[in-house]
Amino acid sequence: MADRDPRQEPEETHIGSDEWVAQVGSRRRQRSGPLGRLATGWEQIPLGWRYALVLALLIVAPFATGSGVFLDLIGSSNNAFILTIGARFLVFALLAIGLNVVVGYTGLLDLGYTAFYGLAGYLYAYSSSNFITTAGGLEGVHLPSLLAVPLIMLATAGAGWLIGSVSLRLSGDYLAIVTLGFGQVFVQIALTATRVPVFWRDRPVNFTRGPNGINRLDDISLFGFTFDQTIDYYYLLLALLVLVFVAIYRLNSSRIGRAWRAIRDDELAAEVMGIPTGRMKLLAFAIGAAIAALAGSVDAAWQSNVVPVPRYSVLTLINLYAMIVLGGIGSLSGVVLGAFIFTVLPEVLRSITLASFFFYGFALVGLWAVLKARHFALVVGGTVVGGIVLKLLVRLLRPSLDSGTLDTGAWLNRLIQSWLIVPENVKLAGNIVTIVAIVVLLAAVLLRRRPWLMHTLLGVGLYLFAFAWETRLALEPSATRILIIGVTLVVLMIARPQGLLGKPEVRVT
Amino acid sequence: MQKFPKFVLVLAAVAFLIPMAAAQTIKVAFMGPLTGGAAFIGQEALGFTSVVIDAFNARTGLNVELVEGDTEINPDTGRIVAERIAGDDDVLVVVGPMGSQVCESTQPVFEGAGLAHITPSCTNTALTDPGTATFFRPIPTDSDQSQTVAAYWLDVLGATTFYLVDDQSSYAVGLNDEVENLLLDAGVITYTRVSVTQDELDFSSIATAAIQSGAEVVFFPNQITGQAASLAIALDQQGFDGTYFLPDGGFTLEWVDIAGEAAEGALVTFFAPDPNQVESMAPYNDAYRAEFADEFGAFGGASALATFVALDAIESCLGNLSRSCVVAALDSIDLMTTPLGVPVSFGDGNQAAGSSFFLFEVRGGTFNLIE
Amino acid sequence: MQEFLSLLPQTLLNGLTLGSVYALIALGYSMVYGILKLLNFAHGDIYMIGAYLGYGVFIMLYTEEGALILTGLIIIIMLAVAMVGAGLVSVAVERFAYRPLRYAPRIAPLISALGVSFILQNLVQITVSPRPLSYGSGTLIAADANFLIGDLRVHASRLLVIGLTLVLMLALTYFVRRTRLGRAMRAVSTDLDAAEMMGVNVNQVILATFFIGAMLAGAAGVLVGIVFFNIRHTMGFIAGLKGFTAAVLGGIGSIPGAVLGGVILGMAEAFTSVYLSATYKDAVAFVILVLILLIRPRGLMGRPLVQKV
Repeated sequence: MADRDPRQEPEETHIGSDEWVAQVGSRRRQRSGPLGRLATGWEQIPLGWRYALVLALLIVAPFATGSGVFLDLIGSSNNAFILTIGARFLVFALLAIGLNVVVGYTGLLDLGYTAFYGLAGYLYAYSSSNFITTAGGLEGVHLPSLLAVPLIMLATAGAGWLIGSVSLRLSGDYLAIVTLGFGQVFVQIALTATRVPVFWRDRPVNFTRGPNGINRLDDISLFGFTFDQTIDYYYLLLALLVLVFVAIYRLNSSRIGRAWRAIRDDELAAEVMGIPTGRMKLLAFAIGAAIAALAGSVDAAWQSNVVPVPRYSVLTLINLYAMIVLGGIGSLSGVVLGAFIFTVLPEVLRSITLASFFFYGFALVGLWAVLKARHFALVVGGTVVGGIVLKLLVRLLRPSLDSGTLDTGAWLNRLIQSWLIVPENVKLAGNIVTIVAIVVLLAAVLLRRRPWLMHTLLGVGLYLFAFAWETRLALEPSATRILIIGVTLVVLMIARPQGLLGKPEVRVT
Repeated sequence: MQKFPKFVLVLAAVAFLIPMAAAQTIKVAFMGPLTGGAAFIGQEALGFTSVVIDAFNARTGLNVELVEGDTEINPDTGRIVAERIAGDDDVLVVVGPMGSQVCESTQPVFEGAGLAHITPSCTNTALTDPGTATFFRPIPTDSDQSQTVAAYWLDVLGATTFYLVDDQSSYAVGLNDEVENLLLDAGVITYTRVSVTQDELDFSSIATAAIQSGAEVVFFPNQITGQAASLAIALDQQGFDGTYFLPDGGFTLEWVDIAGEAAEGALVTFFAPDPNQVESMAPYNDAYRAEFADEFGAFGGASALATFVALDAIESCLGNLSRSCVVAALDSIDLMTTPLGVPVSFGDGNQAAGSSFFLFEVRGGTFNLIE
Repeated sequence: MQEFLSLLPQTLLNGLTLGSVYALIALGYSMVYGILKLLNFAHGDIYMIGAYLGYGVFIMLYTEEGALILTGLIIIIMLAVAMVGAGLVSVAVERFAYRPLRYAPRIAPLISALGVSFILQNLVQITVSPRPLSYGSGTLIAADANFLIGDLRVHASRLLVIGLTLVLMLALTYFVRRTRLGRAMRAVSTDLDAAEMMGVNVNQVILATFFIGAMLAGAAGVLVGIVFFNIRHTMGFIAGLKGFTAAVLGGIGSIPGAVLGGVILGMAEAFTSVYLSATYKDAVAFVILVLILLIRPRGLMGRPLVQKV
């Protein structure tokens, strides 16, 4: 856990920190259960070896996922899409590290970050494609990558410095809205600068090709080697990630890093201590932008295109923020983990079979975590038995109520469907039950002081959720997938507000 | 808590065993936006594809399975979805993608996999010029449409001032770009172009500006039917007396119903009939309504068309089910008619040959063919 | 100049209608921020829920041959259901997604708000429809129900929006200034901890704030459906951004500021659309925002920040 701020945890001394933080040490020792043991075991491995292990995994991943055994498991004939997801994860990991410098270290809420990513993409498109042609018969501009990428990083860092200096007067949420505006304006320009009247031509000039973006960009080429396959880019991005990770790690443990964290924790105090806060903030903006530019230009080369929406829009920004907050803001390995989870989880959920397992597994594990073992058995067993009894009763007394058919999904779904009552108008019933199930579950949470009522409600809720899943949610896999991501976000944030690898914030009141 | 790891292990093992147990089947994949703002377009198209496949299965006794891929109309997501679909050897043909920018990013993936994909909605001209061996487009292009539209404005209406609005989708911008070039070529310089987002709710200021510009034609390519209605109503409320003109995206009765009186007299172009108005589509329409309990418009028709073509190719390959056979079958396909009432065959760049646009006028709350 | 003047009344009307809607949304943002310093990014989706609840009532109650009185009643029921329903959803969101995070890092509730926004949008897509829906034009208020003010034709729906917004503002002002709960709200907004020590039930005040803010957003949802004719499950996102911008413009945390910010934003968009081009309206609105913030870093009516050391 030492990869974040090099500050030491206060172990037993309680001075200057509140009680909750002071107890961190003892609470950490209390960690039990299989996950806790796993985490403890992981922490016993020396830090360097942990990084080496993760890196080794990332290096062999393309081969491991390309092997016949793995492909049979996922029922695919090649691992192209896994490589693409992998490369995308690396791009997002780079972006997340850059954003973390601004938001996590320096504490500036920058909501315009994706503009730098996009700016770099467009600059790469202008410098490495046939897009710019002139009357002189020039066939596009094709700078060598070794020149183009550093230039783009420099230019984008300059843009970061500039936008930073405009926003210096503002703090907190006011900074957030102004940078958000910059980001939005960037996307607007990219979308609409398609017919700009210029003095040197009689017809308006198309600067960006609007929503269609610019295509057929050159591949990155270094020392005679051209990166033209996804796997090439995967390793290129991995190498860049390692470089940037180490650089930022070292920067963060230097004077500059300490100055950033001082500004984040208390700007006034930092200034009093003689830290040039303005320049340090601008430096953070510029470094964040430069990393975004690195990711943006390599990404544009890999995708071979730039498209403004949604790649450079606020949707990507939201994704990035979810990654860094979920992973643990301010923690380098945390934000990389966040990027991993947030690129892989949505793809895993694409398969409705896996999503079903995730859903029922999540429900059971969740109940297991919050209930005592015998209560857990009672609620789950009670739900199943109650469901079967209910079904039998309805079959005997009112067969007309149970007249629909489902017969969808894998064996797990069919197993669960066998003890559900299926009415005639399945869709309508499913819609209503979906809403009712949520209300019942929330009510159960509110009534946790009354165990009997709560356990009954949990059982009923479980039954209703099974019904909602089988009748509606499993049939709308695409929307359900986002729904699950939403629930995961809320639950994870409540369970670990500081993020997965983050450190609890010290609040001085 | 002792059983916990075992429980997780069993769960994980089962999760990975499921795909192994699946038997060899024929799969048709669908790609389109199934969540987000354009979800209704994708959902409608997906619904029609599923209804057409069900009918095909009932008729032939085959068990063609439908796999869905949500592109979120995002070219980057589209590429991953395409690679995933291409990796599944059972998938013989793809209906989709939707949205020209997604078609652009997926073309190389499908070409590499030799997998035929038939788009129901990408109209960007460059996609089939030059095109790829596996990309098929049974619908006409922006270039066809812009020529029809511009010729009608200049020759029939004799209009000289225009107000062009787009919704920042690649479809609308691409089409307006082509229309604008045609107007410039014809020497028209009295036109205004504006661009609003698909989330725009209030069109009253745009109507004010359009009327002020003295435009005789207001042209609004868009994908969100409610927006077509909003602009129509705003123009009507402020006393616009020119022609409100919509391209294919506006060929749905939904906005006409919303706009009511304000829609009367509007002109709409489309390349295929609204499934609601074609008798031979009735069984599919009924099946769609029964299954999804929802209304639909032209996007469903276009996706039904793409699915008819896809299934026809699969049927002719029954003895020799392979991706290459399906591509070859599509190359030589020559349907005199489809349930949608339009013939299909593919020419240069796998662009549908001879497809053209029809012009409709809104009268009495419905579309009437005028040419 | 002639042209400028002839377009002015229509532009002002457009701007005022749009500004009223923004103001209603901005109020909820501003009130919650004033008390919790929390950017409630799910607020836009609460507004969307309001619009859909209104749609539900409309579908159930509306018949073609309804009398004027009856349609008036339907509009009132739509508003009532949307306001109360949106209020309840918002209270639930506060209770389950924000309250557990009240003492967490400030950015954590932003992410759980994002999760809530995903959940609400996709629940509506699954249980209602992914299609854009509409209350229709000429259904609740006849298409030709225009009032003539000089040359300007003012549709009754616009009067409804502007009038109702005004009424809601006055009611809110009365509530905050004159009632016990309103006073408690102001106390909590000034200093949460001190108010708690003085015996104010802080949780209750926070719930009330969320409820009232959501009621205004719910009303905005229905009004947008009536005056702009289309509602979508993704409409909350942009509306939320606009409401946020309006709230910041006016000085976040300030109630009159939120209204002023909403109207300025609406006017800026209308004027840009009419006199320049609709393409640049968002960019122009943003430039105005930056200028105002550079001159007054806490917004137009925001209190200057006194930094405690």
